[in-house]
Amino acid sequence: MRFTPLLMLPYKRLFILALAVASIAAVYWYLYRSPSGRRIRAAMQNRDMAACLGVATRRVDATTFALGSGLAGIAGCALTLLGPVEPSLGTYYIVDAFMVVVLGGVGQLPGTILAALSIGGLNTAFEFGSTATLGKVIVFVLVIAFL
Amino acid sequence: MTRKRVLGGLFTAVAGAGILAACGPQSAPAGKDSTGSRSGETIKVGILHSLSGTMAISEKSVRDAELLAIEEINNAGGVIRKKIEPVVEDGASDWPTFAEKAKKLIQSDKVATVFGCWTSASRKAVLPVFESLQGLLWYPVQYEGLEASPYIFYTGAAPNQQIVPAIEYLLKEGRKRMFLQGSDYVFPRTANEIIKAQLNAQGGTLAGEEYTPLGHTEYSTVVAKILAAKPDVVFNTLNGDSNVAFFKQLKDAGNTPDKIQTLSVSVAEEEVRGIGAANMVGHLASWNYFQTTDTPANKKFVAAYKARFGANRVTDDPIEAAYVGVYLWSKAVEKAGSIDVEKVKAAAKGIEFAAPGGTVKINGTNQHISKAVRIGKVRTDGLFDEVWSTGKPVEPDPFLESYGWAASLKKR
Amino acid sequence: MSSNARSLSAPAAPRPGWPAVPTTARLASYGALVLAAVVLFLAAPSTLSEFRLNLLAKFLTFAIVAIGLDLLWGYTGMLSLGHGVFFGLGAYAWAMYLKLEASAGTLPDFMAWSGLKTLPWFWRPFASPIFAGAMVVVLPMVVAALLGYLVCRSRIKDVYFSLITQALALILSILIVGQQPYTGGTNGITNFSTMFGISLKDVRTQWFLYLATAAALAAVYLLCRWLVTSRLGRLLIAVRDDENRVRFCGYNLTAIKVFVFALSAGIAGLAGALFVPQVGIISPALLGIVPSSEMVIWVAVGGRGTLAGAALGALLVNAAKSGLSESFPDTWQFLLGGLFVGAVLLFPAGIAGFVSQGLSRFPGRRLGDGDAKRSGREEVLHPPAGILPSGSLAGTPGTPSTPVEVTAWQQ
Repeated sequence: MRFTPLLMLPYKRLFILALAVASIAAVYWYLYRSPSGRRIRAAMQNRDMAACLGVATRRVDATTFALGSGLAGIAGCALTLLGPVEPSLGTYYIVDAFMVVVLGGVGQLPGTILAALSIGGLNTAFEFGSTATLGKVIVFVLVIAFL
Repeated sequence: MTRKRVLGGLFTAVAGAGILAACGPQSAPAGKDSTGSRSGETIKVGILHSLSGTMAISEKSVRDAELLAIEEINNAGGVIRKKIEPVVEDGASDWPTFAEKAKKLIQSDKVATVFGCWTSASRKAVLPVFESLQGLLWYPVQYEGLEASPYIFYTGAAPNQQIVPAIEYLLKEGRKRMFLQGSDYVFPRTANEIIKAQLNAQGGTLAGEEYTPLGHTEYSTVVAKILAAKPDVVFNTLNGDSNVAFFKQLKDAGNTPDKIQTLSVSVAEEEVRGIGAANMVGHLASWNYFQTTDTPANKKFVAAYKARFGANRVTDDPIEAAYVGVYLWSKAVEKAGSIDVEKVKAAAKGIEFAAPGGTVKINGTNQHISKAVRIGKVRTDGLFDEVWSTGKPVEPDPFLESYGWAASLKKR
Repeated sequence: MSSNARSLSAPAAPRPGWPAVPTTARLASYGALVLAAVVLFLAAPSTLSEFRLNLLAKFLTFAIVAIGLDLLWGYTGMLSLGHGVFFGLGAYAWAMYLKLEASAGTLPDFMAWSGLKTLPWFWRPFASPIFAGAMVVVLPMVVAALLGYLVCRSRIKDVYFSLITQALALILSILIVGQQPYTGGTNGITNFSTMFGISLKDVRTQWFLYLATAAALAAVYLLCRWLVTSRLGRLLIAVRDDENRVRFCGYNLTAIKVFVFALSAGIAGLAGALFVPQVGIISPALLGIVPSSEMVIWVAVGGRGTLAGAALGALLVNAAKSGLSESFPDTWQFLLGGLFVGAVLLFPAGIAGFVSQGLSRFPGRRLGDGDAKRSGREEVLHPPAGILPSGSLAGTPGTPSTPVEVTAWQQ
């Protein structure tokens, strides 16, 4: 789909956008509206107290880890539509992902979304203005400065 | 607890074995007896490629080609009546590891020569090792030129055997506005310096120039810049997996080769398989050899390679250059009657070989080889159709001394 | 400070619940150190071939990094996933000097083919070995102090600190790759010929460099050992185990953390400078995410929280890596990976921890070399016992106290 010479939205990317929105909605519902999500938040906010109240914290750990891995899997799946797949794929994305978490704040779903959008947007903006290499560097410096 | 202790013992034993192998004064791992290669029944040669890490996918097939050539030579009676014994080392896509393994091959294994390396960085890392220890390296990949070490033979293309003719071809075809895009490292940057000088001199224009980090996979910005610049052709020096992302995203943006054509210099048959022929059909590449090159030697080579490593494997330019390198070395040794490095170097001057890509000849002064230049178009099966060729071999000129317009580049 | 150190390392420091350290064990620990010194300075140079000695020298530089990293991670609890950066900065500083000397007044080759006409201003002072030598340590320390200050000031800690250092490793490596005219790009800086006018190819030069590396390792070890047994060392461990309490006690947490981070970075820079002339190359690949994480693996395998363990870990892991890849070029990564998994499963406290546990089964022989520092740590842990949760004492060395407490909760 082409809107202007510079704005193009291939169907693959539209699909990924929809997938991201769906994943966020599902995670939001799970964390804030389901009993299992409540246990995760409890274990994160006060582990000992949650354990006292009968939350099996180790089980929660395992569930959360599994869920997080699954989400990463969905992201990886979406990525195959855009780029190459190879064993060391993860290293190219891990830093960006971590920066998003650092900037967004732990346990803050809205913060994470905002951070992801701004880091991605800034990266592209700087890349358009200068080069991809410098773009990444500037974003990193900004993140450190704004922490 | 006992199970744990048994496991612990086992672990310690394995770890100990590894350490002993590393630290022993002269390690002689099983299968590689340390009889002196210079006097024994075999001649040891080193094979130094990345068998792990990001470069492994490219370099493993090059290693296979070298092993194939060694087998063929051994089956034909060996060289100066001795069998060649390959000592394989893993450079692990890590440049200091290349330097370490090169030292090991020359100092500990005392190999007669080494076939190896792919990236310029790995070659630059081992160059001081080969020069200081007087070892010999055969380097099989096209590269940015501006180098002629007395201890390295370059069997890949120098810039004037790949890039310069490709630009001449494009200009002759009337594609004058070029967009240069490449990975951010030495080969694309140097190649583009050369191209810019050539465009300047021969009436082309520059539509844009972009570099992305190695391993970069988000090309929507670059693709948007390309589409906005409307060049006649994109000269692509991206390396490795970035090509997959670039060609996929270029196609997703609605581009087809009849709108904006690309010409790549680091995408051969092996890479096309990774990118997917469907994403690249109709795009161009410049090389000295394609699997489809029509020579008797190539029919034999492709058949032998597929018989040895599997019918689904493809051959390409660096694979051919590596194979040719082993043969050239063996011919030089036969001529010298010795594996002594200085004698082999002296004997190598002017040696000819009917390579799969046509007859090649070692240039005595810069130790590169003369070879024909070809431009191919990707077919639906991922192989190339030759669309243009120089026909006869082009003399190597790593410093572009015979090109007037390159004067500003070469006066360093 | 020195009198403090002496009184603290004195064996007679009374520790509730533990028998006084036997003098024989103390002698044994010194014996191990002397033995290590003899092996390093006498046995290795006289028996190893030129190639193996050069390889060992490379491993020794890694051991130096490991000790510095252990000071930061094992003792202060700040896990840096970007220590390759500091190693690389030191290495680049020294490589710039070596390159300028190798180019002998002309423009270094990579600048020439990248289109530069004159030497950039920031390269000029590196022609002086004194300036370059100072920069080897100063540059990493300044970068670490700056980043450490920004990060610690906003009270970013734990995993966030690790992530930011990891991002630094990525950013600096792509920056260096991108600035090819000034840094040599992916190829890095290579092809050196002389140092102080002496040929690097000479066997005697390599031999001298090996001895210098071994001496540097010994010096760094002694410095860090003195540090961790001093009052400051106690403070570092307190920071690791509960930094809030340290802050409440009125200590300037930022200053402590920035100091350790900068010191650790300076040590890594020194190691980098020793690495360059012996290996002959420095490239951005050496300061990226992967090598930085490898450094953490060395410390984890060797035993975090014990200096000798960290150094040993660096030596063992690299020796195993070299040895396995020489013997099994096609499968060595699986074997090495298996070793790492095995090490983590069997020795959660690292090799040094395993050794000391093994020794502690025999009463009266509680001290191996690694254990000396471990019980030294316990010794330091005890005096501020008032502020430390007792649970942290039961934990494996270096483990932050929380998980231990949680397991205690659950059992």
